[in-house]
This record gives sequence, structure tokens and C-alpha cells, in this order.
Amino acid sequence: MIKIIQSDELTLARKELAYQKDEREKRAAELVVANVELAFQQAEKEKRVEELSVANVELLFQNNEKEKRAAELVIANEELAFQNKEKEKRAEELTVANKELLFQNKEKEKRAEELTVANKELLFQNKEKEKRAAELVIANEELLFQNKEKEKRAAELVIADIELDFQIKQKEKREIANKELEVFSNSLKLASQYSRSLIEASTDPLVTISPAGKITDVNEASVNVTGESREKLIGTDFSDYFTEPKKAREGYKQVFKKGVVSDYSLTIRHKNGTLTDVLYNASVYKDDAGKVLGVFAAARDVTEQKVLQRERAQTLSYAEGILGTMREPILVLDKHLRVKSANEAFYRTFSIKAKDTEGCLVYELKNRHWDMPQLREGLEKILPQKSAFNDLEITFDFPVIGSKVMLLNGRRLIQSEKGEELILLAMQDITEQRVLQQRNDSFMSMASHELKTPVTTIKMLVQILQMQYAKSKDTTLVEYLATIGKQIEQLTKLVTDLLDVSKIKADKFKLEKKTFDFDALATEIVQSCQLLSAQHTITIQGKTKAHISGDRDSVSRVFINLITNAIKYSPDANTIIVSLSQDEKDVCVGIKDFGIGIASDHQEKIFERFFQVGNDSGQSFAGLGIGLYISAAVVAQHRGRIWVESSKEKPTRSGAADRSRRGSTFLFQLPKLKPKEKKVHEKF
Amino acid sequence: MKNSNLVPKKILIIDDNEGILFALQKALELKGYEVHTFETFMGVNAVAKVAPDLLYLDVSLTGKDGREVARELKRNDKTKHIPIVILTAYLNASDLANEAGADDFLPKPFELAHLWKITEKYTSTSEKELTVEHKKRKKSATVLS
Repeated sequence: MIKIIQSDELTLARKELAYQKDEREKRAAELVVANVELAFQQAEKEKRVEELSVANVELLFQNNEKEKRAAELVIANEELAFQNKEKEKRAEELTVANKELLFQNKEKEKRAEELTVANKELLFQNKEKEKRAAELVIANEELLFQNKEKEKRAAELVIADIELDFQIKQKEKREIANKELEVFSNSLKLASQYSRSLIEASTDPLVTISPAGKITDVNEASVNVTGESREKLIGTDFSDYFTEPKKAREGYKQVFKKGVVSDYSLTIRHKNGTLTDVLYNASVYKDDAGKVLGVFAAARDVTEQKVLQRERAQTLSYAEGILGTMREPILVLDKHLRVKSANEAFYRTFSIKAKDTEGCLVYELKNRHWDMPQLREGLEKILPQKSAFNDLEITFDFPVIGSKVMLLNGRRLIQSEKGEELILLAMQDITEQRVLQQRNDSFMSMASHELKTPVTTIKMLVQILQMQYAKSKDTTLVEYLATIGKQIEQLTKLVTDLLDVSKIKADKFKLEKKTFDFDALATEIVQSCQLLSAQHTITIQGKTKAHISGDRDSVSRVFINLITNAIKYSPDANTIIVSLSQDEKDVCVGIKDFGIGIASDHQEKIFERFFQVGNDSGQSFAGLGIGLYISAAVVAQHRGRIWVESSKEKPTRSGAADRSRRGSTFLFQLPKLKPKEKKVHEKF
Repeated sequence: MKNSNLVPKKILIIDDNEGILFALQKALELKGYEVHTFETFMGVNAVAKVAPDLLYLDVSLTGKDGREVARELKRNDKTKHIPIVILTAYLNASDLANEAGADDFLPKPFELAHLWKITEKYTSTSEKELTVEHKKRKKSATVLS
């Protein structure tokens, strides 16, 4: 039993235990739930705290905002209060203004009333005035009428007086007139005879024509021009004797219509067919009552005039044709130097239009670029001095077309018809020529400059070799060296001459002046030149006995150039004469040869650069053609003069030229030193 | 031989053309001068080192103006006493020499005789004195005029 009890108790205990365990588990589960709940609540609390904190911040912010709003509201209230005060002020002012307005309106109304009264008064016064004016007009008219009546009476009185006077005078006149009529009748007879003879004597055909177009009278000239007798002509139709009868009829009809016609062109036909161009001048003639009796027509023979006119037109068109096709620009100026006309070449060359040229003063062309002192000097002399100018070189500097170098020729022209004096200005554009020349000059200068160093080197070495081998037995070497030496001398001379030309062109040709004995120099040169030609004998005639101040070397070159030319251009002669003379101021040298001579048209050109004369058979001579150019420059630098006298004699009938009269003489003059200057040396 | 002293006179030639340099050297050596040649200007010291009695100077040196060289040499105490003769093929040789402050000029082309004469003029003592004397006289004449 105990065991059962114990077992029951145990069971119970176990149940209790199980129950407790369950309870415990329940409690544990509840605890877990409670913990979860607690944790949840805790989390909720934290959330609340956070939310609270956010809410606090928000609250704080809202409080601040509220405070701001409150502050703004205070300001706004103040502003509102201020505005209200302002409004009150405005309202007060408005009230005052309204009162004022009211007062002014009342014042206006008062004025308007016053004005109405015044207008009424004015109207009344105007009406009164008009009435007075109308009365005045009537009074004036009355006065005027009375005055006119008075004047009429006075005029009638004057007329009556004049009439009386006139009738008395008429009576007297009639008596005189009767006497005069008698005299006049006699003179009329004479006058009629006189006019008839005048009409007959006229070489112009004269006719009178009836209103029906019939000839009523003619003179002898009409008989001659038609070939018909006077009897045949009178009574026939005027228009029968013209190449255009219709036009002739129209002519005299016009006269009857207008009373007069002048220069009416017609052609009269002679019965043998000969035609005569005439110009008619015609007018009607009337009787004393003014009735037209007929036409008096006078014809002027213009055949010759027409021929001249035609010729003139042809000449004019010919001249215009030439001017138009010329490549050289041409201007025709009137006596005031205004452009009368210009040709196409002018417009083309100067890029200018006719409207900017014709009628303009020549100096005003191209914005006064034509206003050049040299041109003025040349142009302004032409008409007063009846002069001309040739090859006047002018460099124009135009803004767009650039620099233009022109050669101008100016001539006086007379336009024969009007006798008007004109100036013809012809131009040649040498711009391109000048550019080429300058290029050529600078090339020459550069080339001769570059040649100098090699020439000097070769020359020195040849001279050294010649010295070293002067006494060598190797004749070939000596001979070769001599030839090279001579050639190099020639080359040196050429280079020097070319450079001298460059110097002259560049205005750098300077002289070293010293005083020297002129005759001694001439003798020295003649002796050395004599060695150049065995064929010629060079003789000196005369003496200068003078000293000159100059560049001895350069003057020597003038002598040498002239003598070597004389040798070169007289291959068939054997004499050259160097004549020396002097006058008060100058020494004069003449170098005469008996050679080929120089044609007169070449005599000025030979002093130009690179000009050479050939002989009649076209043979040319060696050299560059610069010797005379340099000589002329040297003489000019010494303030001297150089020229040539030459004749080219034609062969005589026997076939041979007279050799003694052929050839050239080159002459030059240099100023000589005055005795007191002889010892002074100058250098420049 | 003009150069009779035991020590031969020294000539320096500065020219960039070797042909003319050679010819000048031979021509002057013939007369017993000691000849030095430069194809370019190598500075004042190089010239001073040679210490020539006379300098021939070409105007148109490669890359250098001979006038400038002459002025430089005449400015320097070491070289200013050296007589300078300008060598040139230009037209205005005397103007160039004046601009360079050189003592004389020798225009191309020239004769050997002219070269020797001018060399002797500047290397012979007595001639040199004469030249100075002549220059003085010329100067006083110019002042008077």
C-alpha cells in the first residue's frame, strides 16, 4: 500500500512536477513573449524618443518660424500703421484738393459767364463796325464815281484840245505832205529803177511767185541757173525747176502761211541736167492794204559749201579715226588748259572716264596728280610764246595704277573754222621701258662688280708670271703670257668701262681734280696711241699753252677714246689730226679722221649708251658703244662741251667719193685755269 | 727688294676669296714681305697675335662687314696702330674706307705696281713719317680754308 500511496503521490508529484514544468515552460514561453514584448516596447520607446527629438527639433524650428513671423508681423503692422497714416494724409490732402478744385471750378464758371457777356458785347461791336464799313464802301464808291466823272470831263477837255491842235497840224502837214509826195514820187521812180538794177546784178537767183505758185518775175541769175529764158520762166510753175517739185511747192506754201522761210534747202535742175544746191530765203510781199501779193524768194548757191562740208566731215572722221586707234594717249586742251577731248588710249592708260576728263582743267585730273611744275612750265608757254615741247619726261605717281613715266609732246593747234587756239598733248608711256632699263643697269652694275675680283686675281698672277719668266728661253710660254696679259688688259678695260657707265647712271661718277699741263697730256696720249696703229699717222697741230683743273686720268680717257675711235672708223685712211687751241675761257681739242663719217641723224645719238654706227655696207665695229657716252660724262663733269662735225659724202659721178671731205671731227672744250689758279690744287 | 731690314715686314690679308688671297700673297712675297692670310676675321686677338705692319681688309667678308672689322681693330689698343687698307670692288671705295676709319683703300681691279706702292707707303718708316706730315699739312690747309 504504501507503495501504492507512494506511487500515487509520486504520480501526483510527477503530475505536479509535470504541471510545474508546464507552468515553468509556460512561464518561460510567457517570459519570452514578455521579453519580445519588452524589446518591442523598448524599440517603440526609442522610436518615440527619436520621434520626440525630431518633434522637438521641428517644434523648435516652428517656434523660431513663429517668432520670425511675429517679428515680421510687428514690422508689417508698423508698415500698415504707417500706410494708414499716409492714407489719412492723402485723404486729407485730397479733401483740401477737392475743395480747391471746387473753388477753381466756381471761378471758371464765373469767368465763362464773364466771357459770354464779353463775347456778346464783341459781337455787337463787330456788327456795328460792319455797318460802318458798309457805309464807308458806299461813300467811297460814290466818291470814286464822282472822281471818275471829273477825270472824264478833264480828259474830254484835253481830247478836245488835242483834236483841235491835231486838226490844225494836219492841215499844215497835208500841205507839206503834198509837196513831199511830189518829191517822193520822183525818188520812188529812181528807187524802183535802183532796186531793179540791184536785183538784176545779184548773182543769187531771185524770183517772185504768185499765190498760185506761178513765177511772176525773175532776174538774170535765175535765167542762168535754169537755162530757160525770162519769157519762158514767167508764168510757169515755180516747182517745175527743182529736182524735188513737191518739196519746192511745200516751200512756197510755207512762206504764204508763215510769212517768211529761211535756209530752205532745194536743188535747181538746169535744162542741160546740171544740178545746183541752193538755200532759199523767202518772204511774202503785200500791198498797202496788207493783202499778200506774192512771195519774193532768193536762192544762195551752196554747192561749193556742201562740198567743203563733206570734205570737212571726212577730214574730221579721218582725224578722229587716227586718234581713236592710236596707242598713245592724246589730250586736246583749250586755251584755258581745260580738256576739250581725249582719245581711248588716254582713258585706258590712266583708268579715267570721259566724264571725269572732258571740261576739267588738266591739272585737276586724277585728284590733281597731273599738277606737276614741269608740266605747268611747258604748257603755259605754248600759246603765249607759240612754242612747243618735245619728250618732256614726267613721272606721275597715281594711287591705284601706280607710277607712270610718260614722255610728253605739246603743240599749238588752230581750229581753222573758229580760229580757236588749242593745245595738242601727246604722250608716250615709257614706264615699262624705264623698269627694264633700271633692271638692266642694276644687272650691269652687279655683273661688272662680280667680275672685278677674278679679273684682278688673273691680272696679278699673269703679271707675276710675266716678271718671273721675262728672261726665260721658253718663247712659247713668254708669247702665251703676253697674249693672256693683253686680253686681260682688254677685259679689265671693259669691266672698268661698264662700271663707269653704272657710276654715271647712279650719279656716283666723281672726279679727283688736280691741275695739269694740257699740252703735255695731249702729247703723251698721242705718242701712246700712235703705237696702236702702224697704218695711221697721228699729228698734233697747235698748242693751248694752258693748264686745266681736272681729273687727268679721266681726261686721258676722253683723248684715248676719241683717237681710238678715229683709228677704228677710218680703216681706209692714214691720217688723224689732233688740233689744240684756246680762247679766253676754254681749251679746245679737235680730233679729225678721214673715215666713214656719221650721218647727220646719228650725230646726237652717238653720245648715248651702247649706240654704235656701222658703215654703208652694214659692217659693224667691235666695242660696246660706251666710249663716247663715258667721254661725254667726263666732259660734262668738267663743265665742258663735246660735239661732232661730220659729213658723209656721197660718191661723185666718177664713182669715187671725195675722200678729203669725208670723215668726222670730234671736238671738246674744257674750261682752263686762270693764271692765278694754276698753283692751287683742289680735290673733290 | 724694298724690304732691306733683316726682319721682313709682316702683311696680313683678310679676304674670303682664296684666289685673290693667293695672288696677293705671291705678289707681296715677291717683294720680300712676310705674308699671313685669313679667310675670315678671327677676332682682335688673332690679329694682335700676328702683329702685322699692314693689314689688307676686304669689305665684303662672308657673314661680316669689313668696315665693322676695321672699326673694331681701330678701337682696340692692341691693334689700333696697324694701318688698314680697304680692298673693294664697290664703286665708292673712298667713302667705304672713310666709314671704316681705315687708312687707305685699294679699288679692284688694280695694277701690281699700285699694290706694291701702297704697301711700301705704309711699311717704310720714312714714308710713314712723310704721310703723317702730309696729313698734318692737309689738315691745317683744310682748317685754313
